[in-house]
Amino acid sequence: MKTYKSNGTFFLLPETDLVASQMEEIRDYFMKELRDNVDAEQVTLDATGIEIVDSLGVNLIIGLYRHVSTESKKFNVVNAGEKFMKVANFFRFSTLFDIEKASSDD
Amino acid sequence: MTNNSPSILIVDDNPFNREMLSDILKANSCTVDTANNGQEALDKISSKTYAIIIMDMLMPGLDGFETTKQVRKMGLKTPVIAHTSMSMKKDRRRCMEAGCDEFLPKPINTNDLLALIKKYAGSDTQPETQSIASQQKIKHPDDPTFNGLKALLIEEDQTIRNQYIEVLQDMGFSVSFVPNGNEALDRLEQNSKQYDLIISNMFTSGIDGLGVLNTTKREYPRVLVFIYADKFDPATLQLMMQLGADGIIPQSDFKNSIGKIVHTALSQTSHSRTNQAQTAFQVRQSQARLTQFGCSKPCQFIDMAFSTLHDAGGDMAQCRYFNRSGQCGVVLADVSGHDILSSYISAVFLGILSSVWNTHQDPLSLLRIINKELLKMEEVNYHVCTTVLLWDQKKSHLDIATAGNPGPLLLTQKDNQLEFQQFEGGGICLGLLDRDDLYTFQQVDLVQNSRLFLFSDGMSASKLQSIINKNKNLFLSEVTSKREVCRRLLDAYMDSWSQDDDMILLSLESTKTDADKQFLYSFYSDYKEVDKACKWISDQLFKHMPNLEMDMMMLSIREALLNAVEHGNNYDSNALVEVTLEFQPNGLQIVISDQGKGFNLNKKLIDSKNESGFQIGKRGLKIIHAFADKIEVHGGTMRLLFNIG
Repeated sequence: MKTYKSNGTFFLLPETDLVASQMEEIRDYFMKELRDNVDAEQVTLDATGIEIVDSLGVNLIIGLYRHVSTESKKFNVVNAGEKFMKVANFFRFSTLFDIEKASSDD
Repeated sequence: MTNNSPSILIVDDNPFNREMLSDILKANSCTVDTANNGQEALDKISSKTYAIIIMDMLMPGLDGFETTKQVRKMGLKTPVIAHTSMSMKKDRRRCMEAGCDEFLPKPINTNDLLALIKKYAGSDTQPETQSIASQQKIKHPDDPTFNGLKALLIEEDQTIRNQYIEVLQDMGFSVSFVPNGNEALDRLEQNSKQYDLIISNMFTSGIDGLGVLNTTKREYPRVLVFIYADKFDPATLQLMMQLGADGIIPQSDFKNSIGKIVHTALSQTSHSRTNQAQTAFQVRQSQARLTQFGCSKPCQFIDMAFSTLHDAGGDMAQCRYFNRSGQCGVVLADVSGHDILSSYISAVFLGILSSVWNTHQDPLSLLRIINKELLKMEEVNYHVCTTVLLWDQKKSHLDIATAGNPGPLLLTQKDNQLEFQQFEGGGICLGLLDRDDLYTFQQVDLVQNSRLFLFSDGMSASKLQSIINKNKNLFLSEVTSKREVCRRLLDAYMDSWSQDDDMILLSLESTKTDADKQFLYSFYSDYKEVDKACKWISDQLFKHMPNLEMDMMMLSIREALLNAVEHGNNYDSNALVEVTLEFQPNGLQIVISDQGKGFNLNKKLIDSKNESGFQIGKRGLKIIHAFADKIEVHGGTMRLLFNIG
């Protein structure tokens, strides 16, 4: 789990499944990082390494999107794997924000 | 007679009491309505007029006191009879202060009840008295006809004997005679039914009148015994009364008094017997309704048969589906004694059981709490032998505790042979001692093709084993129906051995029907445990269906597990979630049980449709619903079906 900033974009990398057992730790970490990096113009969730997204993971993603949107910033997802995309399609994430598939899944 | 069928409302939370009172009142031409609690009673009273209300004072929620007060506030003057086990003067006063008109203590005394009904309904509600008189065909004492009643006269003196035979025959008796008590008892032993009464001289050679009286009352209580003598000393008189003589006749007045004395005794005995039998029958009827399974739909794995001997009290059996991870409870109990009070103890026992079972599912815990409650009654002459089981049907595992009952008998079928294992029983009966450490406890796994038999002390394990061996076909033959096994065994048992107590036979069949296809996993309610459970499930799926596309299926299952942890068990880390996987020819069934009450699936789905995509919550249910081919929710159990192939 890590974050970094590049060209005005703040990247969030969970590097793990977005499931209930991980949720508290991930949420607390990302929210703290977002508060500490308010100057970023865009926030990107890097889905590398995310295999499973359960309902709490969905809530986290939508929570991040809402948080970023309230600050009038852009939110998107990159490096989404096949399994991530199944969940994203089911919940129609693409109607809310851009999702870029991982290159190996192209 | 102003009211031939008074309308009576019975208010009692105990179903046994309601049934018993109903039966007694209906048998006495009353119209009966019942209410389970105070609120229900008030609803009924508001819409219907009753001649009398019989009110249990101690009920959960709106109790009898408050209900009666409400009735009076409604301006109703309907007589209310307080029916309660509280017997202190202050309790009686409290009932009256609440507005009750009469006080009828528990356990029920039928005569007192009917007298009160008669008093307040203004009707003659004792038709049985009339029918008894007509049935017995006993005429007025002055009418010396006794319809051929069979009398055995014991008199050594031939002259006196002939005189008395003549007197008795003139009255209509069919008379036999013997010179002494020894011969009289021999005749009774040969066939006691050939005599209705014995009329004996107090003083005979060999066994005298007292000896005959004593033996007859003990061995043949149906036979009436009358003793005559020239004179009796007070001590002998008292002894005869204690031994239960039905009449004592001064010899000097034999001719004039024998008819009246026999008539009086016959009337009293028949009335008492009929009354007792009627009440006992009603009690037994009521109790029989409670000797049944607690589930609305008894499962296929349990079977029971019972045969009652005595009028009241005796054996009972109950089971309850706890809806906790597929577990259920079974209780088999035997109340000591066979009279009305023992039947009352049965009702109390069932009442206690009913109220504490859900919260004391562990067998030892249940025995302890029932014992504690029974001891409060201070009925020192009564106790309850009990067997309690917690039955995990999914694992086919049993926790068994006994308090005075015989240990269960395990029957296992292996290669066309029957194997038996007798488990420890005994322990201290409930209601005797304030001790919690004197029960027996054991755990049994019912493997495939095995059956556990439970029985009360009216049966023995060795005899049951013998009967099972004689009826092997019930278990070994593929053709013979396995239904009603207990009934068949019990009938065979009674054919082989005389019945001298109530008998109840209960069998639990192994739930493992095809062990190879079922996989069980359980975990405590924690998110990390959900991850482990998902790993176990996906491993099983991969092992059995390596080509299965399982991503979204697993997501659906994961959400069902999360639902069990979050909503079912409310994050209680001590609460279990149990998972059963069953691979079927065209699919997979997964059953997930938590310890919660469950929910209405359709309602929740409709609620979730009203949410926008941005709303937080109920996403799990959407996922479950989207990727499972079928969902069923029953209580805390969710069953998911996935079609494959």
